[in-house]
Amino acid sequence: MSEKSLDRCQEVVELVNEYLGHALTAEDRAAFEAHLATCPPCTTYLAQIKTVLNVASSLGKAPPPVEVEPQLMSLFQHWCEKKPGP
Amino acid sequence: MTGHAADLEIIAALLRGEHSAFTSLVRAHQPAFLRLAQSWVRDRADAAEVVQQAWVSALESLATFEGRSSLRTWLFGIVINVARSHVRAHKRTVPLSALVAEEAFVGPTVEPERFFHDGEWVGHWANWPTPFPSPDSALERERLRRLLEKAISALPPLQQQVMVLCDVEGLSGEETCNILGISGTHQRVLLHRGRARTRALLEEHFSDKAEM
Repeated sequence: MSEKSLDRCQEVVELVNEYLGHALTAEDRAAFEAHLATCPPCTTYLAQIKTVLNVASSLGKAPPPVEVEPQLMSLFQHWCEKKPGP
Repeated sequence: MTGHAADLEIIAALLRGEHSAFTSLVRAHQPAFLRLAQSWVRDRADAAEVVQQAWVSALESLATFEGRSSLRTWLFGIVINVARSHVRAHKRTVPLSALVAEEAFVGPTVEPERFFHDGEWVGHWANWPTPFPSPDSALERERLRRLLEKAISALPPLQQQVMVLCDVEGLSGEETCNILGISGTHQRVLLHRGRARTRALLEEHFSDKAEM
């Protein structure tokens, strides 16, 4: 039985998300990794996407803009005064 | 404390009128809410208005939170609903079905001209991708963060929302589908296209720099 091969870079780049999300079959994953092992530009492409994901996750940890808070706090205060008691 | 128990504790604290609970909640979610709102209403001031309205709606319906999803997912859903209503009220809406069809268009995510069209190397890179600087150094990381923020905000609305929810906020595909009301297949396609487009925008920046 011959192993599956993934020769064209153009197909490989369309599988990067499935690869990173562990959604490829074992056979497709092996073919994907075999391609990467011999293809520097596809390796770069994968590294670029990984950088995007790495930096994107850090954006969620940025502090909020300070100027909004007083407005929101007065909104909360207003809500506390209006809401029915416990 | 589990996530669910922590959520219920935050809600109890809010209902007791504890300012510190509200401050923590705002600190944790405000940037994501603004980012999400801006993918619907591009104007920053309008987005801030949407988020403020979302906080009001959230506080008013706090007692109805049943814990079927996490508090964070529930809040994201409120932001999306308020943003949709805002857009509808200002008659700047495009039907969701049209957006999904347009943005989930199935085609190559890397320009076909980047690859050889014929010959022995057909389908292989003709124009290799430019490596990005490593985000390991604080300086490069900050630069990449600024560029990525800009690139994400330039995405079409649904791609932007899916990317913000999944990649920036770390929500699961299922949570994202529930919030946006789209299918799993559409979510995967939108995420794939959003990431590819963001990568391309960043590459454009670094290629320009390399040519200078």
